[in-house]
Amino acid sequence: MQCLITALKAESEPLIEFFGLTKDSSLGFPFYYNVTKDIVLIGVGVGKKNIKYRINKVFQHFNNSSIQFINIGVAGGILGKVDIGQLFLINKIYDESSGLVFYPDMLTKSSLKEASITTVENVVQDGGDRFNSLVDMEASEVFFVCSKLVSLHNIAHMKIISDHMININNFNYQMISKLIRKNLSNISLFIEQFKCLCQVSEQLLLDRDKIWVESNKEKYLFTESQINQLLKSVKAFKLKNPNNVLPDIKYDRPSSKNNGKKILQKIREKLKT
Amino acid sequence: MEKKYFRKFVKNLRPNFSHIYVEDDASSYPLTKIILSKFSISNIIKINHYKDIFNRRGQDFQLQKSSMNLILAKKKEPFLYPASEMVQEYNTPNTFYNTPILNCLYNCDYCFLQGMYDSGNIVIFVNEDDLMNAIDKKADDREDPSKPMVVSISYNTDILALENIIPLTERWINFAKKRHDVLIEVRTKSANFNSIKHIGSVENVILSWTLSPQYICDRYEHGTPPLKYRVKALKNAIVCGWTVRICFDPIILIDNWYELYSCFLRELFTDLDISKIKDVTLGVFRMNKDYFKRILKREVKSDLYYDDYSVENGTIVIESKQRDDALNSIEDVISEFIPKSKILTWR
Repeated sequence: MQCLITALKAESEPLIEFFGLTKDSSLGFPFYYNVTKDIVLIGVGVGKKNIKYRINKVFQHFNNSSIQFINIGVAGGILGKVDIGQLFLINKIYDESSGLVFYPDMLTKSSLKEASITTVENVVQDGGDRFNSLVDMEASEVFFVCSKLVSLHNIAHMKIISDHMININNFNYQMISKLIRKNLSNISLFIEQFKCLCQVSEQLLLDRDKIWVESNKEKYLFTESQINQLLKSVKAFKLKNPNNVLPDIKYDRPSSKNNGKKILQKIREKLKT
Repeated sequence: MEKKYFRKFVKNLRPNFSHIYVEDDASSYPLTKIILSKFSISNIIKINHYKDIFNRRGQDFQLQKSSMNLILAKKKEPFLYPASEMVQEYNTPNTFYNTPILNCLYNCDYCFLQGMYDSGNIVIFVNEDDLMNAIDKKADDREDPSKPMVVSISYNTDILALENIIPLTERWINFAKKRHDVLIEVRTKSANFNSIKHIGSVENVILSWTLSPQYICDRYEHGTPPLKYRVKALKNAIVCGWTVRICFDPIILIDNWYELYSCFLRELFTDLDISKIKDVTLGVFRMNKDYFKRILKREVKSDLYYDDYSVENGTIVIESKQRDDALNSIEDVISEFIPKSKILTWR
C-alpha cells in the first residue's frame, strides 16, 4: 500500500483525480482511497502541527508495516538555481528548528533531479538566500514521523518548485494545482517504480503458514521455545519449497511433555524431508 | 523471491554507487578525490558524520546490498583492533585487524557483516595514514618482539574486490614494503589480482583466497567471482612469487558436504603447485550470537540460519562433535597434499 501525503488541497486535488481516489470520512481529516490501486492520500495542512497525528492515525487504520509514505508538495527554491515547476526527488532533509538531518534511502531508479530541502517553521519571503537547498514546511516532520513506523526505504519526498520565496502572496490554488498536474506523469512513474521496494520485503511465511503454526501450537501444546524451533523448521521448509503448502499433521494430542517433544521432533523431521 | 519478480525488482533499482555520501572531514583527502573522479555521474551528498547515514534506524541491509552506495569518511580512533576469537591462531600474540573499509562488495549468506551493521552501504575511510601510523606505533611496541605483527586489513570487507574503485590494497602493500616486521594479510574472494600484479611480490604480504566448491559459491556467496576465476587469480599470484594462503572457511555442512568438499579439494590441490602455498585455514560456519540473532530477526532468506546450532562462549556454532568430525575429515583430505602443520583450523 502507498500513502500520499500532501499539505494543501491544491496539491491533493490533481492527485485525487489522477489516481481515482474516493473520499473516506472515517478518520476525521482529508483521507482518500482507491482500493484497487492500493493508494491512499491524506491531507495534513501547512506546517508540522497535524502531521504526527494524521500519519499515525492512517497507519493504525491499515495496520500495515510495509506501507509506503510519499510526501508530494510544493517548495520554494532560490531564484537562478531552480525553475518554477521543476520536480525534485529529495535526498537530504534538514530541519531548521532542531538542526536534525534526515537522509531518505535513494534506491528506486529514477531520472528525476535530486535536491536537498530545509524544513522551516515560518514562510520565507526574503528570497531565501541563506538556504542552499529547497525550502518547505513539512518534509522533516513527515520523514521523522514515518521513520518511526516503516523502514526508511519506504519513505520518499517529491517536491515541485512553486516560488522563489519572494512575493509568496502571488500564488494561488489554480497555480499550485497546475504545477502538480504538469508533473503527474513523472510523479506516477516514480510511484509505480517505488512500489517494487515494498513488494520485495515480503515475509517468508504467508498468513496460511502462520495459521498452520498456530493451530499446531494449540493442538500439541507446544511451549514458546518449541514454537521457535518449529518456526525455524517451517521457514527452512518454505525456503526450499516456496510454493508448497505445509503438510497435514495428524498425531494424537500429547499425553505428556516428553510425548510433546517427540511429536515436535517428528514434525520437524517431516518438514526436512 | 520468484525469479521473474526479482528481475523486475532489480530493474527498478539504481545501480551501485549512484550516491556518494562525503563526510565534511573527509572531503579534502586525496583518496576522496580519487574516488569521486571515478564516479562523475553519481549524486554527491555532504554529510556531517558517516554514522548519520550508516547507523540510521530502519535500514534494510539486504535491500541496500542490491543498490549499494558509498560513504567516504575519516576514521577516528581506535585504528587497530585485537584479532577476533573467530579467526584461527597464527601462533603469535601480535595479531590485529583494522578497518580501512566497512562492508563488502559481495553478499555471502554466512557473513557476519549483515549482523554487525544496519546498513548495506560501504564506508571507506580515506585517512589511511592514520591507520598506518597506528600500526607503526604498535609494531614498535609489540607484545612478542621476536615475532612479526600480523594485521588483517580485509576483515570487515574484501579490500581487493574494491581495488578498481579505490586503490587501497596497493597502498597497504607499499606500506608493508617499508615495514618488514609487519605481516599484512589481504583476505579475498576476488579475481582481481591483476589490479596489484604490477607491484611485484612483497614477502610480508599474504594474499589469502577464500575458496569454496562452485555449488557453495552459487548457493551462498552472492556476487562473488566463480571458483575458477579465484583459482586462476591465486595461481597467477603464486607464479608472480606472492605468499599465498588458502582459506576453506567456512565449510558449509550441507547434506552431501563430504563428497562435495573432498572432490573439490582433491581437484584443486592436484592442479596447484602446493609447495608454494604458505598454509591453509579451515573452519565451519560460526557467528557471534548477537549478530546471528539480528540476522534472524530480519527474516533472512538463507537456509543456513534455520539449522540447529549450539552456543559456545557467545558464538553460534555447529555442535562440537559434528564440527570435530567434519573438520577432521576435511583435514584428512587436505593432508593428503599439505602437511598437517600447515593446516590452521578453527575449533
